[in-house]
Formats: sequence, structure tokens, C-alpha cells
Amino acid sequence: MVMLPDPDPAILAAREEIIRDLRGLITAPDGVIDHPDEIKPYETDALTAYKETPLAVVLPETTAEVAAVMAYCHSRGVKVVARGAGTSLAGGALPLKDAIVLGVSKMTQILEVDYDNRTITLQPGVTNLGVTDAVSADGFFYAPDPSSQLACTIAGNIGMNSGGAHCLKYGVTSNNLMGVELVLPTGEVIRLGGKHLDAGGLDLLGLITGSEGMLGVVTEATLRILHSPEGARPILFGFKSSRDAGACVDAIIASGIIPVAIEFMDRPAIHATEKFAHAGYPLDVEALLIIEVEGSRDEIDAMLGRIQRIAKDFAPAYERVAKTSAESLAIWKGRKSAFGAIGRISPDYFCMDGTIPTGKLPEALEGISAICQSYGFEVANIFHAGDGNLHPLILYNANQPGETERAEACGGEILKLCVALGGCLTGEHGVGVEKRDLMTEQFSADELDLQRRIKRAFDPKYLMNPHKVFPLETMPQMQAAE
Amino acid sequence: MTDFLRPETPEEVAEAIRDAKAPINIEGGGGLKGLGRVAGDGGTLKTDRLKGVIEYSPTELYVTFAAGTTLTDAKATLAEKNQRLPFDPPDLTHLYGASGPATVGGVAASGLSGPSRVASGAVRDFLIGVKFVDGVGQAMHGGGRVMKNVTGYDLCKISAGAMGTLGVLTEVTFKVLPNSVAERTLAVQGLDDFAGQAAMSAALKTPFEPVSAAHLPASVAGRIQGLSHSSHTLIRFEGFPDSLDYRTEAIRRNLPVENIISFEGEVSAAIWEAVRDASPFHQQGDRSLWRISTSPTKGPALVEKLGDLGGEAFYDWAGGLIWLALPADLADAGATKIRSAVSTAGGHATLIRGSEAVRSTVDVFQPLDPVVMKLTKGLKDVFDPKGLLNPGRMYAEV
Repeated sequence: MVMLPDPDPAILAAREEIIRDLRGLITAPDGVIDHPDEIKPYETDALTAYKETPLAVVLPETTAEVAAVMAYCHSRGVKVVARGAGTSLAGGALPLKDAIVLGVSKMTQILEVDYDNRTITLQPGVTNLGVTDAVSADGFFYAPDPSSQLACTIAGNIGMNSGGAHCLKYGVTSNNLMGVELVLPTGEVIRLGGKHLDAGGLDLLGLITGSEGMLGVVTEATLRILHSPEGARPILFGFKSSRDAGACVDAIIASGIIPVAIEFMDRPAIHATEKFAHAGYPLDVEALLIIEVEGSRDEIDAMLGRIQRIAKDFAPAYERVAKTSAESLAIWKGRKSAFGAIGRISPDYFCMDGTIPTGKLPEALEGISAICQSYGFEVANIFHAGDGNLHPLILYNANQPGETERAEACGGEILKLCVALGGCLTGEHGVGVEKRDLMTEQFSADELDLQRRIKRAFDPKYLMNPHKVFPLETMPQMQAAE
Repeated sequence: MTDFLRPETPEEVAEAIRDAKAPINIEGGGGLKGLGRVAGDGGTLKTDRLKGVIEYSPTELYVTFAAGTTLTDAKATLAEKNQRLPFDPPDLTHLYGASGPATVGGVAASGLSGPSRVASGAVRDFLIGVKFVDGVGQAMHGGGRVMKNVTGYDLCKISAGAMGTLGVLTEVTFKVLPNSVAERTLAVQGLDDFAGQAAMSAALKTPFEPVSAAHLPASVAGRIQGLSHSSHTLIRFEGFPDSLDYRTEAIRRNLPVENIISFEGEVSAAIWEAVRDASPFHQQGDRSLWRISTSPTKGPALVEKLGDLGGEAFYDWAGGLIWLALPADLADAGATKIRSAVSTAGGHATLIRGSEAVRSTVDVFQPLDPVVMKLTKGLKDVFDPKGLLNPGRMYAEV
């Protein structure tokens, strides 16, 4: 289990005073939450294995309020955990006893839509899907599409540099974020980038994207929006081996075709999903690929034809092209309900998130299977195969004593394998608390120290989300260095 | 230290930095020496002997080069497998008298992207791994070989465009993509800057995925081989031939203009190479040259506002990138007026080419807001606490 740092007793003792001070900074009567019942929803995020009650929850409505709260916390030495919708699978929004949670849920205004420059400017509490909803009537969309897009906020997307199934073609958040207004841990307000390309100066915009709420609070964002394609349809393939499926993915990409999405499911994932969603998936195959392409009707037909010809070399045991939007929905229905389906067959699961170079897919699958076997866990694999982003789901039962810890250890082994294969610990979920102690697998002590010093350049008192991303052991030296 | 170092390994780079007692000018091939402020005259460290392909996996779409590999060699390596750098890096070395070749390290450090930036992305979007030596001689890495990577802070992005002020790049890993099967450029002649920009915005607002859009006034177009002396609004498409036919036809129907001509294949590619490298401004090398990034629709008004400087401009990135050449005799190379106009419109301006005298006194890069400058200096202290690496190249105090 991940350890949290001991709370500062002086801050805990001053709780009433701090809450009173914060109330003086926030206009809305319900903008500071301190009642235990109302704080409860903020104790955890989507990594529900961990919970902690914060000092208080603050919900500002304006940049000025965020700045005032940050300046106050900086001068008073109060830690701050920023929160979007709390959908992090890595514990990115997990609070501390001696920290306030600063939520952006009241900052939900769309400020400007500019089709001629293909941008939208908004407050960061807008949900990911809310962005597309704001422009879809005019034929536009926002490309990054994490699975939690109905709930997750742009603030959280920027904090974690979220991806999604469609980033094979469109990139992740950092590739679609053009500018921000940012409140620094000191309460100072800056603007980076805007409606123009490339922000100028050092790429601070790139640095803060994916910095897991440790360098500042975004209070306004300008995003790239794109015109929606005329249409999109998938093809479904079943293969006798994962190796064939992996080789087929490589061959398609090498041919010059970049599909919008290439999703992979292994046998356990297929079976669990089919039982639940009845998507008509073949049950006698080892691997399934869903490959989606975009364009006009003719372009899609031509592209799917090319993909079918390439796939022939890998002898797919099953093949189904979606001819209509109803057939497309049916193919996607299984994939989209996969996590829910796994939830039906297992009391609990950990969703891992490593990335590997795509050619290592067969090795990764064999390795994952061996690791899970040695721990005695079943595993179902659901991958964004086009970019090598793996989501092995480790099935376990939290009610069995010790099983959560063993499942975590099993997950850790899988992520170490990803690093050993030339990949990384996390492709789109973030490090949070979950993978914090594995960072030494990927970075040397000097490199971790460099990253912590970067944090200090933004946050000299180390108050923002201080218990995330970096192994706790290095904390004491850092604090002693103050 | 000696005045001129050409290490052959990353270890030698680290050793050179550890031994350094005074600021060092960091160079790749030396071709971009004229880009940036005129800094002190300390020693020079060239990375041009760090050469070659370290790892190339065409099916996994990534390549790692030693930083001193020339851009020409890098492109040739990728071309053998029919692949390319998707951000289409400009080769601006001829703007500075071709004093050395462009290197992949220089491409990463200068952070400059070509015409496809508007659709595909920038250097910073495709630089997925870096190895560098920091200012105290420690070897560091950021990123890796994979596109999706959110493990720790994004050191690749902060390295891209840092002009060697944070570290000496020793290895760079790029995501690569297959070459397009075919390309075609549609061109409308005779539009003024405003109408040209509107046509580009209109094209980008469709589902037909143009990959580049540029507008060249007549005098600029006249200097590009294959174009007549008339203004040209250019919209480029790539893809499979059947798809190109469909999408260019659809765009023709969608654009409120007539008399659209088209350029195919190599002719089209050569035009975009000229746009990418600002070739129309290679002559008259004493003119100062600015590269301005703003929101596309603001481009033409910005150029109009700067009209009394007596310059000549063209637009890339659908109007959002302005190349502006100004007469040599302007005292501050037009900096005061340009910076004031850009700060109103939003964006930033870089003096890409200017005399040493001008570059000693005028900010080459857009001046920063005081708090952003404080952060920038803070980061400089993190990476290079002794201020040894290219001090003053970007900003006087960084």
C-alpha cells in the first residue's frame, strides 16, 4: 500500500481559523465545504482503494478567487490538492488530512467559440464531452476522448495530459491545448499561449500539461477544435493468436494508413464483454481488433478494403465490416462496455496503464500472463494497440485479506515489464500516488531530483499535491533543503 | 577550457561541461548561429560529431538519432523506409549564409516547424524522447520511444525550442509517419491578403482535412518557381489518389471563389518547400526577417498595420504564421512597432534574421511577462545553475 506523509499538526490545529479565512475569500455561500457529510465525496477519486479526509473543500468561481485562495495557502503554508471531477484512476486527486481540496466544479462557462481560428476558450470545470457538445451543432468536435469523458473536466485532462481511443490520429491533450490562464502556487496569474500556434519562450505550456496538479491551477483554457469527419466506421477482426493481431497492426500502420483508432481485446476480455453486451463478438479467437477509419462513404469503403487486403496476410479467423451506423454502434458497444463487463465477473479490478513500443505486443502479453499466473490472478487485456498503450485489468477480490496488496504488487510487476520492453509506466492515466514508488524504475535519482527541482521553480514551498508522482523517500531531503 | 570542443560521445559532452569554467556557445552544425541574441564570446561546443542512427523502428514509428546527425542524413534514413518527420522542419541555415548544416539537435532546440504544423503538429508534438547533459554535466533523459507517455514532467516539450539554454541535447527521438502516397495543392490567384486568409479559414473549417494553407502576395509568389506573378492562396492535400480526388473536388464546391488551379506531386512539394524555408526571402540577405505567430484571422490586419515599415510579407499556417522581411536601414529592425502590434493582436514575434548590431540590442524573442520571466529564470537555474549553456541566447538574463 502507498504511504501518505504525516500531516502537519500545527495546520490541523488551525483548521477552524483556516476555514474562516477561506470563507472570507470566496463569495458563494456554499463555496467552502467543511461539514463531514459534504466533504465525503471529495475523500477519494476513481482509485477508490485510497481515502483521506481533507481540511476543507473550496470551490471558487473566478480566477480572482482561485488566486486569492492560492496566495493565502502559500503564505499560511497550507497544502492544496486541485480537483476536476475526481475521475483519476491513479489517485491524482487523493487529498491529504492537512490539505484543502480546490475544486473547479463551479467554473463551467464557455467563454468563446471561434470557428474561423478553430478554437474554444472556456473555464476548466467544463467536462470533456461538454466541449464537443458546445460545438457539435456546428459540425465541430474536441478530439481527446478519455473513457470518462462524460464526467471528467478539462482541468483534469490538462493536469493528467489525458488521451483516449482516438489519439492515434488526433494526439493527446497536450497536442490539442493551445493556451491557458494559470494561477501559480504563489497566487500569481500568468497566461501561456493563446489562439496562436506555439506559445513562445520556453514551452511552459508543455511542461504544465500532465504535471498532475503540482505546478499550478488552470483557470481558463483555449483548445483546438476540429470539423467532424463526414463519417466513421469500424471493422472487426478476430485472430487465432495475439501475435498475428499485433503483426497485423504493425503492417497496417507501416502501409501509410493511420486509422482513427485500433483497439485490441484478448480472449478473457472478449468473453466477459460478450456475455454482458452481446455485441456478437466471436468467442473462438484469441484476439480481437476494432479498427476505425474516417472520411466520406467511398473513402471509408476504400480504406477498409485496403485494411482487409493487408489483414489477409495474417489469416484473420473472423472479419466483420460495419456497413451502417447501427452496425458500427454494435461493434463499439462491446468495447465501450468492456470495463463494466469485467466489473460483473470480478468483485474488483485494477486497471493498469503502461505503454510499450507496438512491436513488443506479443512479448508484453506473454509476460503479463506469466506475471498474473504467478500471483494467481486472472487478467483481461484491453489495449489501444495503435500506440502501444496497454490496459491490463487485474481481477481480484478486495474482501480477501491481503489480496489488494498482492494485486498492487502484480500491477507493479506488469509496469516494470513495460519499462523493460522500452516503454513507460503510464500512457494516459498519470502517476498519481498509484505509480509513485515505481518512478525509480524509469528515472535515475538525478533525474527525479531534476524533476523535483522543476516543481520547486513553480512551487517554492512544495505545497501543491506534494505527495504525488515522486517517491516519498526523497521528500525529507527536499524539505530539509528549504 | 579550450575555445572549441567537438566531443564524440555523450560522456565527452558531460566531461566538457563539468570542466567548463566559463559560458559555452552550444552548436549543432553551426548553421543556425545567426538565430538568437548575440551572446558572449565564450568557448564553443559543437555536437556535430555525435552522429548517426541510434535506433530506428519503422513499424513502431520512432527513430532515435545522435543529436549532431544532419537533417539531410536524417531525412535520407527515413526516406529509405518511405517515412518522414511529420512536422516538416524548415531548413533555415541558408538564411544565415549556410555556415554549417542543419542538425536534428538544432531542429529540436530551435523548435521551428513547417507548413504541416497547422494540421499535423509541431516539433514539440513529435519529439518523444531526449537525452541531454545539464549545466553541471549530468546526463539526463526525458520521454522515451512511445507516443503516449505521461510518466513525470514532460522534459521533451521543455527541451524543444529552448535554444540549448537548458541542456546540451545528445540524442533525440522522434515519432515518424509514412510519406503521403500522393499530394495535390489547390491554388486561387488574385485574392488580397484578407480574402486569401478567409479562403484558408474556410478550407480548414471543412471535414476535408487540408494539411497546409499559405497565402503569397504577387511579389513573393513571383519568386517561387512554378508560380506566376500573381497572389496565390495555396491549400495542400495529401492521401491516397482516390481520396485526393474526392476531397479536392469537395473543397472546390465549398470555397466561395472561382478559377481554382491545381499543382500535383513534385511540383506541389517544391512549392511547399519554398514556403517552409522562406525561400522567397533568401535574396537581399541584408533585410531583417521576422517570424510572427498570431491567430490566423488576425494576420492580414497585423501586416496592414505594419505597412509603413515598408516590408514584404507572406502567410503560412492559414494566416497564423507571418514571414515579414523589412528594409535593412530600420534602426531597431522594426521591433518596437512589431512587438506593440503583436501584443495587441495576441501571439509572438521572433527576429529570425538581423544584423549582429541589431541582435545585440533588440530582443530577438518575444519579451516575457515578468512572472513568466521569473519562472523561466527559475527553470534556467534548475537545469543550468552556473549559467554555462548558451547564456543570453534567448533572453539577456537567461
